[in-house]
Amino acid sequence: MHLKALCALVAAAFALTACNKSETPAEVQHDVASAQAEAQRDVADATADAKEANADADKNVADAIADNDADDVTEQARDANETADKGNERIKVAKAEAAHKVAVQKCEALTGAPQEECKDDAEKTLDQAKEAAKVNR
Amino acid sequence: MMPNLTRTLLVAAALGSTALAGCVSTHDSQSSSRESPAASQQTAGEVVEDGVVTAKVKARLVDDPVTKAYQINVETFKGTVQLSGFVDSAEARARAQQLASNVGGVKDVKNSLEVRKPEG
Repeated sequence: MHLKALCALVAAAFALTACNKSETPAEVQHDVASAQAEAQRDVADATADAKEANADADKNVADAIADNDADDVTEQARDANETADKGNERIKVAKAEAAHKVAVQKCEALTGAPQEECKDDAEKTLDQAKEAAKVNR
Repeated sequence: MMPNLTRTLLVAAALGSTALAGCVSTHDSQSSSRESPAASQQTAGEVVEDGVVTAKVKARLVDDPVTKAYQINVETFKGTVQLSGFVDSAEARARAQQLASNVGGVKDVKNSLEVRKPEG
């Protein structure tokens, strides 16, 4: 039983040491570039999705106007505003996540406690940006 | 023979230049007559888009706790939204402008809302 616990502790210690290892500058540069490219794609996707959703919602408003249905116009206009708000929030979150991915990769250049601190800061920044995106909806 | 040919050529040239001049003047009159109304006329697509923008701005104003208390008129022309009517504070006026500005498809907002303090 003691042996098993000891093994688990040793394994955990090795794992932790491995986690906090710094990458070489070349590895960091490569990973940051990959993260930036991926992040740009994510933001572009979120923007394109929002644009498509807004166009659909606007078409529904236009159809309601064409039908001369005042109640439906109001309802569809509200839906269109809601769709636009959600789209804007998703774009803001995608941008925040994009910045987070890059920030985390940059943390890999550090080691030990500074690396942990760097990653914690990146998490906090992401959480704050997500909250701000919700509030500004 | 030669004078006849010369005369024929002269007449043809005169006719040709008159026709060309006619074409140019027709084109000019069309373009000048088209130019001025273009600024004030809309395509069917623009009318629909402006209607959609108006509906969305109205929905925003009606749903907002600050602006819902007022009867605010909204008109849209080529993406420019005009707000008119009366509100009782500068804050409400500014809020209405902010809400309208944030609606998708709005290019500009002309805020003609007047602040009129309630009597008494």
